[in-house]
Amino acid sequence: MSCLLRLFVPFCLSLGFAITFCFATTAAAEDCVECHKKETAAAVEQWQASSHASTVDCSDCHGSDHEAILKGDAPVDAKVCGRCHEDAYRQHISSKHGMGLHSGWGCTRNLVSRDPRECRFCHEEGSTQPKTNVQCARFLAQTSEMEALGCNRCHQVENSCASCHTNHITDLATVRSPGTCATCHMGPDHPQWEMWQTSRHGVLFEAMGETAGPTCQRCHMPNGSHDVSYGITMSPAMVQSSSERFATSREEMVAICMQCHARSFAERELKSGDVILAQSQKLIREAEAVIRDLADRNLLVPSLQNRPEHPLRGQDLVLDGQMLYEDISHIERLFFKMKKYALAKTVKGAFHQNPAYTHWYGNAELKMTLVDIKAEAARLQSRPAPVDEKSASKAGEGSLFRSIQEELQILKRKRDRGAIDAEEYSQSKQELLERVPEE
Amino acid sequence: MVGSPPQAVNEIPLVRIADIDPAGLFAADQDGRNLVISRGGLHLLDLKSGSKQKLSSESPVALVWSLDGLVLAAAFPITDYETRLTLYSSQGSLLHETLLPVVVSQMIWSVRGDLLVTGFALKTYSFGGNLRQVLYRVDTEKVVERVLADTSLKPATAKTLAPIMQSVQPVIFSPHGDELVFVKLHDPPAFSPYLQLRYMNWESGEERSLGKIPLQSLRFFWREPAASVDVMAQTENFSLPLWSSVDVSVEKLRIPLYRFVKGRLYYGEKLLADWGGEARLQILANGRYLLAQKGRLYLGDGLQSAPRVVYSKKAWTLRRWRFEGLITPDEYLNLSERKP
Repeated sequence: MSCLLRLFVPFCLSLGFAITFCFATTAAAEDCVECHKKETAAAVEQWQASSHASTVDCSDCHGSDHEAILKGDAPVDAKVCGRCHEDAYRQHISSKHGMGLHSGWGCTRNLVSRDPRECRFCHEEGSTQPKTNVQCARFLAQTSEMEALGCNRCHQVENSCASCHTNHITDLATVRSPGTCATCHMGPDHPQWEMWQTSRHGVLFEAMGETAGPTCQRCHMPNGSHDVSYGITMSPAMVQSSSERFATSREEMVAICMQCHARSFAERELKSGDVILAQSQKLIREAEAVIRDLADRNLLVPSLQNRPEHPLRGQDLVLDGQMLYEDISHIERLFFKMKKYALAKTVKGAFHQNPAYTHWYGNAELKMTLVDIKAEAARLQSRPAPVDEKSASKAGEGSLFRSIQEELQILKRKRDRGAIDAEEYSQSKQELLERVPEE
Repeated sequence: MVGSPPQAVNEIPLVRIADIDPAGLFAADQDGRNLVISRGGLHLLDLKSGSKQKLSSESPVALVWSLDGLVLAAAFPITDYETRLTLYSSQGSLLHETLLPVVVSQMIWSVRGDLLVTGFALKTYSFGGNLRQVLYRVDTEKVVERVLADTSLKPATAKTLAPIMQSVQPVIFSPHGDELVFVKLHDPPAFSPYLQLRYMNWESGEERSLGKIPLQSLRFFWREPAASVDVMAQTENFSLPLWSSVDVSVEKLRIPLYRFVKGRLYYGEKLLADWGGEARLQILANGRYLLAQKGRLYLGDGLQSAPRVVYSKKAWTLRRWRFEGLITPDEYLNLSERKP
C-alpha cells in the first residue's frame, strides 16, 4: 500500500491545486440543489460528498442554460474536465482511449509502414479529433439502439471522463478498481480483465491486495497517468509498433515490470509475447490466403455479388478491422472468430501472463479454427461454382467460353491483389487463351 | 468494299417507289425485302405489288428492322418525354408494345438480335433542370434499363439545351451492337458545361471516358475494324481511338466508308453525290440504297456491297473480355485474327 500512496498522493495534491486555481470564484449551487435533491437525488448526494463540492459548482461543468442541458446540448465531455485537469486530459486524448470513438478508422500511427503525412487526411494539425464522420463499418451496420448501447457505451470513453470516473463521484477508489476497466475490457474479443483476474497477478491481488498483485492501473496507468497506451507495443488490431516507437514503449513497460521483477525476467517474458504474436499472425495470414483464393474463384456463399454491400467497401472482400459479422459467408465468420477472438486471447493472454488464455482459449482455438477454415474451403471447392446470372447470360451455360472467362477472372483477381506477379499472370493467361475456340 | 471508289451512283437512274411525308421516316431491312414508310401514319409497303398496309395512324420518330427482316421496331411519341415502342412482324402483326419514359435518341438491333434503345428525359424547373439518359434492352418479356447519365443542370443550361438536346446527345452503336459511344453532359456550378465522351460495352456494364469537349452539337461515325469513332463537332472534326494502344497498329486496316452528311454522300473523303440538305438515305446490303427527297422515296443502285456483319459468339465474347480487362487490346486482335 505504501507504494501506491507514494504514487497517488502527489497526483491528488496536484489535482486539488489545479481545481482550486481553476475555480477560484464559484457561484452558489443552491438554485440547482433545491430542485435536484428531488429530481436527481443521487447526483446531488454524490457531488456534495465529492471534492468538487467545495470548489466546483454545478454550472461550472453543466453551464447555466437549463434548456440546453435538458435538450442534451450541454454535455459534460472530456473537454469540460480538461479545463482544470489539463495534464490528465492531454494524456487521455493522446492515448488509445482518446480515439475510442474512431477505432474503426484504422489509425496508422502504430503501423511500421505508417507515413506521418497521412494524419492530415483525418486530423487537423495537432489534433486527434477526426475531421469527418464515423467510418466504422461494424458500427454503421447496427441499429441505432445497438449503436448507442452496444458500441458507444464503451467507445464514448474518448469524449467522456465519466466512462471511468462516473458522473459526480470524485473518490478515486472507483477508478482504481480493475472492475472499472472490466466494463469494456472483457468478453470474447479482448478479455483482459478475465486474463488478469485468473493470472498470478490477479490471484495475488485477490489474496493479498495491491501490495502483492498489480492492478490494470498499476501497469497501464502508472503514477496516475491517463495515457493508457503507455508501454504498449502494438495497435488495437495487434500490429506491432514501428521499431523506434517499439523500443521506447518496450522500455517503458520493462521499467514497470522491474518494480517487482528482474530486468532479464521482464524482457524474456515480453519477448515471448512478441514471438507468440508473430507466430499467431502467421496463422491468420494463412487463413486469410485460403479465403481470398475462394473469393478469387467466386466460391464464397453468399458470393460477394449476392450479399448486401459493405457500408464502406461495397462488394470488396473485407478481412481487416472493418470486417463485419453479418451478411458474410460461414468461412468468413470462422475467420472473424479466429482473428477477433482467438488471436486476441492468444496474444493478450501471453502479455498478461495467463497460460490458459494463451494456450487453450487462444492458441488451440486459432489452430483448430484454421482446421475448420481449411475443411470449409475444401467443401466449397468441391461444390459447383454458384451461378452468377450475369455471367451465365454472357457466355452461355456450360460453354467453353464461360469456363475460360472464369479462369481469366480468377487470374485477374490474383494479379490485382498481388498474389501472382506479372510474369506468372502473363504465362497463365496465354495458356488459357490458347483454349479459346474459333466459335 | 475495298477497291476503287464507286462511280455509278449518279449514272444509274433512281426509281421512284413511293410518296412519303416530307419529314417522314422510312426503313427497309438490309436486303430491301420489307419496307415501311411514314405517310399520314405508318405503312408497310409491298414493293412487288405496290400495295400498302396501314400499321398505325401515328407517325413514328424511329424505325428499324431486325437484321433478319422478321421484326420491325417503331417508336411513337406519346407526350414530351414518353414514347411507345411497338414491335411488328414482317406481315404487319402487332407483336409487343411497351412505354419508355424518354425521348428516343437511337434505336438499333444488334447482330445477336438484341433491340437496343437510347433516350433522354429533360425536366426543367425554376431552379434548374435534370437530364437523364437511359439505355434500354427490349424484348417481348422484359425491358432492362441502364442509366447512362443523371445530371443536374443550371437554369440557363436547361433553358438553352431544351430545344437542341438531340444534337448534343448523340449516340452511336458499334456495327455489332455490343458497344456504344455516347455523351454525358456535365454542368458544374462554377464552370461552363462540357460534354464527356463515354465508351461502353453494354453487356459488361463497364464504361470509360474517352475525353471531354465544350458543349456543342456533335455527330459520330464508327470505324471498324480500326475501332475508332470519327467525331464531327462544330469546332473541329477528329478521330477518337477507342483503344489507343492499338491505334497505330491497326491504322493500315482503315478502309473508306460511306458517309452521308447534310444530303451529301461521301466515300471516304470523296464526294459521290449531293442531293440537297433535306435528303435522307438508307444504304442496303446489296449495293442498293433508299433516298428520300422532297416527299418522294427512291430506290437507287450502284454502291459497293458492304460485307454483312454477322453474329460471332467468339468476337462478341472477346470484345467483352477486352472491355473487362481480361485480355489486352493486342490480345483481342491476335485472337480475332487467329485461324483454326
